Amino acid sequence: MGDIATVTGLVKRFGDLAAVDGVDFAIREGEVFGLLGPNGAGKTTIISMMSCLIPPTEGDIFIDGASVRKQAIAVKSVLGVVPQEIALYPTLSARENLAFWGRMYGLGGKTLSSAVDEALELAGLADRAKERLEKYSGGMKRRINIAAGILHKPKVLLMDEPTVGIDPQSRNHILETVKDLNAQGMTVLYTSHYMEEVEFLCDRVAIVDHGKIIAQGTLAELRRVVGDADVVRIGVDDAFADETLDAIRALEGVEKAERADSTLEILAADGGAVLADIVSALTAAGEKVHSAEVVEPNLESVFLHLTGKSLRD
Amino acid sequence: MTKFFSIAIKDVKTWVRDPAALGILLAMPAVLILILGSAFGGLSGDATGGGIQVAIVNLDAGSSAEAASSASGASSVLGDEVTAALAENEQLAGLLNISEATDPEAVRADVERGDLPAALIIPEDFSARVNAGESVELEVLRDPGAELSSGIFETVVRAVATEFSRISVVARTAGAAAAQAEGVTPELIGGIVNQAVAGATVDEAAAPIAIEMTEFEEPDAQGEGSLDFFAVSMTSMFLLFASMFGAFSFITEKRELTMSRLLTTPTPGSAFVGGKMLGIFILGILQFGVLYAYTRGVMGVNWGDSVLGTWMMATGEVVAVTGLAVLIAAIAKTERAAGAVGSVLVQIMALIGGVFFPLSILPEWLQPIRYLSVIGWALDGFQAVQYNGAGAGDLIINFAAMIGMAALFFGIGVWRLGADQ
Repeated sequence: MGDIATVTGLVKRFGDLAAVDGVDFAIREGEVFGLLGPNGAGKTTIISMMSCLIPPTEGDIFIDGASVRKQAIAVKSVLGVVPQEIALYPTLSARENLAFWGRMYGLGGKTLSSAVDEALELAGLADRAKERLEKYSGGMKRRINIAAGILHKPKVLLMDEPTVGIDPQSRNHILETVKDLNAQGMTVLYTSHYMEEVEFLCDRVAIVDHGKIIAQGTLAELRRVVGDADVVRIGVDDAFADETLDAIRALEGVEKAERADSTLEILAADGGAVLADIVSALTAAGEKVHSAEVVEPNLESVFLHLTGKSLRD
Repeated sequence: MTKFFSIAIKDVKTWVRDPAALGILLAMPAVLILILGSAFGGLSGDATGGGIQVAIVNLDAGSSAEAASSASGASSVLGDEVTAALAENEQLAGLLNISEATDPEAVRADVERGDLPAALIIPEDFSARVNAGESVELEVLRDPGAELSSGIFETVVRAVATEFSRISVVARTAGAAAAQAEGVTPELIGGIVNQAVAGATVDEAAAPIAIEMTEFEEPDAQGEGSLDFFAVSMTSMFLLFASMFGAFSFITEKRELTMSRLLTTPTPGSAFVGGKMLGIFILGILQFGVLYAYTRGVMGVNWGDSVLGTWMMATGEVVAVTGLAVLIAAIAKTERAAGAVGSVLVQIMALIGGVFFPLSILPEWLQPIRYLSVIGWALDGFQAVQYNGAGAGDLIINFAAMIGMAALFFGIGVWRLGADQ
């Protein structure tokens, strides 16, 4: 499969701030491509430029051969966009909302009607289609939010953190939906700061931090960045002394150590071997250890390895 | 085109399901019309503080038969005498505030719609008929909504007419006697006449100068003249509130990011703005339709005979409302700010447009201020249909002025949005 979207030399500046600073990546047709990074990394700004909402300061994006700079309508015609926020009309019913967005994508008549029925089925809300959206739970609104972006069966679906702030059941439903859509041939760009979601869904991933892509590739390729290192995750008190963290960093076998709230994340070549030393060091420093686990290399450890900080920072 | 209409229909559905919008756009004006119409039975000013505002139209062309008047030493144009007797009488100075007018139809319309409590029209042949000894009528126009004020004026005019009848009778009698006598000088005749005038009495019923009363129709004692006024003025004012909801809709779409989402679809920005403006237009027309049907059908308000003229004014005002919505949305960043800006704009336009009181009570030089207001143009047109029998053809200037205002508001709004970008 060839590339359906290419992003080259993309820069977006707001005054002196470079929200996106020289980003290049390509999305292959039929894959789920992930943009992983902490909040404020620049993921939403990249999606906004891809969906022609804001113009790039430098660089260009080509989607299905059309430039966002010069052929915005052509780009928009092949895109489906699921924004991070629930961008729907609360006093309209689910069916009315979907019919409205379908019309905005150029659907009409029986095509629109069957597309709305299909989207409601996909969202699992066909039986509540006539209810006003304001009566829905947050998770149900999220599902309609996604349904509104896929009604017209776009070639490329841009999903910007679609699972923020919802219950586990709705999250699972959404993740399964994305899998299904991809299985039907839809190319998906999925942004998240949840490592697990990206690992579950994506064929290839770009890790974004401070407006730059710091690594990209398949999951296996990215894991190789950290070699065989494990992540040791220790639960501690909130009032954790930074001097203790320095003591842990000084332990033999520890590559990096960071604290995010009440969790220590420690990158070590052999997590199991250093775990006892870490717990001893913490106990000696008077810190309480609430939990301890050793996690095999994953995107979290990649991010920690590359940036020296946790994804949740 | 489908997108354009879809956006408009979506907005109308949203407003129709919003109890706050329905309350402000329909319930409030309906209740206010009822309350104000009932409360102000004598809107056009029975309060006589500062003098009763009346008008005199003196059409008297004078007379060639001047013997009698010359004998009494008066002018040949008796209409001027009557006017002077009313306008220059020191005792009446504090009671009547008299203005002289030239257009009887305009004055008639003013009284009919309650802008003036009363007026006097002196006919063209007044001097000629009096001097010829024929009976003649002075026409007093009365607004039944200002019973006290117009009654006082009528009494004063009757007194003046009786006085002139007496002079006329005596002057003609003395003149006729003198004409048959020899060696009588004009000075002697004058002296005789003056003495006769001082002692003569005239039966008012048999007086040659009669008073013709024209009292305009008042449907019942509940002050429906005021009801008509407030129905039209409140409807005009509340139509402008649709602009506030239009502005809310722009700002809410921006805040809730549905506008951003919409701009990621293959929908041109012009379809978005145009669709929203069409929505506001439909809302305004629906609002007017409901208030028009309610006031006319249920409350029996007289909107005038020209339905086309009335709807033309409503359409012009609603088009201006769409432009105003864009302007408010461009000025205000939040719904709260839009509410504040919108309310202030509507109140100012209502005040200078003549919603709260007839602008005729303002000094004449200040009255054109109404034309700075959309409501002023609309109300002017609605009332022309209501009271003067105007039709669509008479209202083209009003309509054009409101369309011009719409273009101005829209232009400033778009310029302001561009500057913000």
